[in-house]
Amino acid sequence: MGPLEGLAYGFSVALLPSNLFACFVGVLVGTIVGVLPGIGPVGAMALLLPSTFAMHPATALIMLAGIYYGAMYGGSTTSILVNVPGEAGSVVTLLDGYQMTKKGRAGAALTIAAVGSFVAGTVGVVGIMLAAGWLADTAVRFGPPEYFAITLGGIPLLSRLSGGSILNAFVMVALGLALGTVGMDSISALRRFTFGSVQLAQGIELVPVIMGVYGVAEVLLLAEEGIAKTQVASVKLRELIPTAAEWRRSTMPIARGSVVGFLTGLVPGPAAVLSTFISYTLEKKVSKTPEKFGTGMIEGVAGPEAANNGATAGAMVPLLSLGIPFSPATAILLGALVVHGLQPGPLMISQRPEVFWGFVASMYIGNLMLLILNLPLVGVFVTALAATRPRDARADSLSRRRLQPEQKLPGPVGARHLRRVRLCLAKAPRGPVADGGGAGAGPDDGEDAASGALPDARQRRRSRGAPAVGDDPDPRRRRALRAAARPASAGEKAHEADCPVAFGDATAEGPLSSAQPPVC
Amino acid sequence: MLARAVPVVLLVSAAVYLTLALRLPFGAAERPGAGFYPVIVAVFAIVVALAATASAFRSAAGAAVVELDAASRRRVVITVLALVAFCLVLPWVGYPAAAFGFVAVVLRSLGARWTAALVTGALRSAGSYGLFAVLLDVPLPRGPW
Repeated sequence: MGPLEGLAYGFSVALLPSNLFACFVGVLVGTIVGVLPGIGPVGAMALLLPSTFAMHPATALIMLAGIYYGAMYGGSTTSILVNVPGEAGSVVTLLDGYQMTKKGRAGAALTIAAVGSFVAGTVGVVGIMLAAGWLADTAVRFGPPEYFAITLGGIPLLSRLSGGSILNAFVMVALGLALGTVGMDSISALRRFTFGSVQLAQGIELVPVIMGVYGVAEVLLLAEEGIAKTQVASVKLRELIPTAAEWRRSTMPIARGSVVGFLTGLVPGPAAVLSTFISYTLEKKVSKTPEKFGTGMIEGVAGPEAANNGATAGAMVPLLSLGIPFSPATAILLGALVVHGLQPGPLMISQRPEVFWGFVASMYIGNLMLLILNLPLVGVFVTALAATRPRDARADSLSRRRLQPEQKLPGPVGARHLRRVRLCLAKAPRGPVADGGGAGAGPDDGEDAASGALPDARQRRRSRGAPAVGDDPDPRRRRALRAAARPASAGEKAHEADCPVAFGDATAEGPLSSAQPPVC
Repeated sequence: MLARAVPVVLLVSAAVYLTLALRLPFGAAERPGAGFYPVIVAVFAIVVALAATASAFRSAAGAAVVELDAASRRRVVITVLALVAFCLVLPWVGYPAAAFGFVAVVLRSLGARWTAALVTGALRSAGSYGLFAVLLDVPLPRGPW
């Protein structure tokens, strides 16, 4: 079955009422999850995994994947309107997105983000069609030695999913492998490590593990941070239309972001996050006015927003064609397929074409649904946004800090590069968020930059824990990042005077005035 | 302290796992027994746990561990206790009552008013039971009623 023939078949599957409904539910939940900072797409997918038990495998995959890429759309809303990323892939968007809000261009930023996401999602699906089929055709010729090599190669790849300490990740890999040996041996039928329990003879099921690792962890993190109301900038429907200049300036960043995102998704690691940093840095490099980035440049919204959606599509290629998940979210998708008795890999495309092509076609439909959901209905999500937000004081201070990627563009893309993406944290004002800010509000209003530096000790802590983003889906990384962001000790403060890095230190109370994003 | 304790606990667990794995028939490379793969995993686990332990003790202060404030700690403890209680009472009182109690208690601990917590708990419990048990035929314990 060729790509076009397969796509036509896929649409016949995806357009079934049940699959359309599942797609809608998935992208809606994904958008809500992206908008609300409390829970990430991985946690939401883990929590909703049991609800797919009664579904057809294709329907389940369509719904869960919808949550994943839907969250990328929704995450930009909070970044742009509240200066708080809804999920990790939207951290970079707040640098320029929120500055646009303060200039009264929130609507344009939201539209460009949604259109960029749509274009990148669509480009990504074309990439899946071409790359996954080709990879699967190659992989069909694999025999036991090749599969053994893939499995062996997959173990170090797994260790890079966390983005943190490799050693700790290997310990977790060992723990996972050990848990996998519990139950009946598939060759000799001997019970291993069951301690006489009949239930354990079946082994430890994937769903409880996923629920515990991701779902319960999210609940505990929410309990730690608490809930508080927040103030959100309002956006009127007529304000959603970007100007001709904004469209023109966004075209190439969206194109570049789509490609960068898709390629980053093909590489192991937290691609959705990494791709945004790469895209932002790339846009800054090619811009004639790089110094204006961080003051409300539409390129700084268009590129990263396209990139994170391209990355979600790219991450599907190794999952669907080789059966290897390169990120926690795709690992849950893999788990969902396994729960339904499917084994993602090269044979799935030929043996279960309705699942593969139905899923690919559903991504086209899902992206279209998301475009509709995220533009005319942005007001609804803004209202939802006003309901909840983490209230923990340290989380609050962290989420309001400016994040800026390192100016150097990483070379070959890989998970290890995530740790190279240094973040400069700028102290931000604590006042409530202004409504729009008015057209006259300039990027430098109220700026009170002060010299300072990210203390060496804090940088060391950060590189050890490898937290690269402020609102990471992994609670451990979020916690480590909060630890890194705690007030510096006297010894650490002594370093600040010597360090050449400058970052903003706005102290104004009341409506958020600006703090020039730091130059790293 | 905690940063050092975790790899040590994992190291001890790996050693126990190896002991149990060695009791299983090992077989040979061409005819692996039930213990063949677990022994390899156990050796791998011990090696990486040893390295992690050494790394934790080598660093002067250990990895940074976040100290929770009293309010955050209280919320986390209440949530964990509520989760444990939910699992324990689920077979006895059934899903609807256990879910109602769990949601209400956790929401209250998060700062919701009692009325809101109770109403949300009731709606959440009824909604999820209706979705999973009634619509999707997932067997959930109903309890004595």
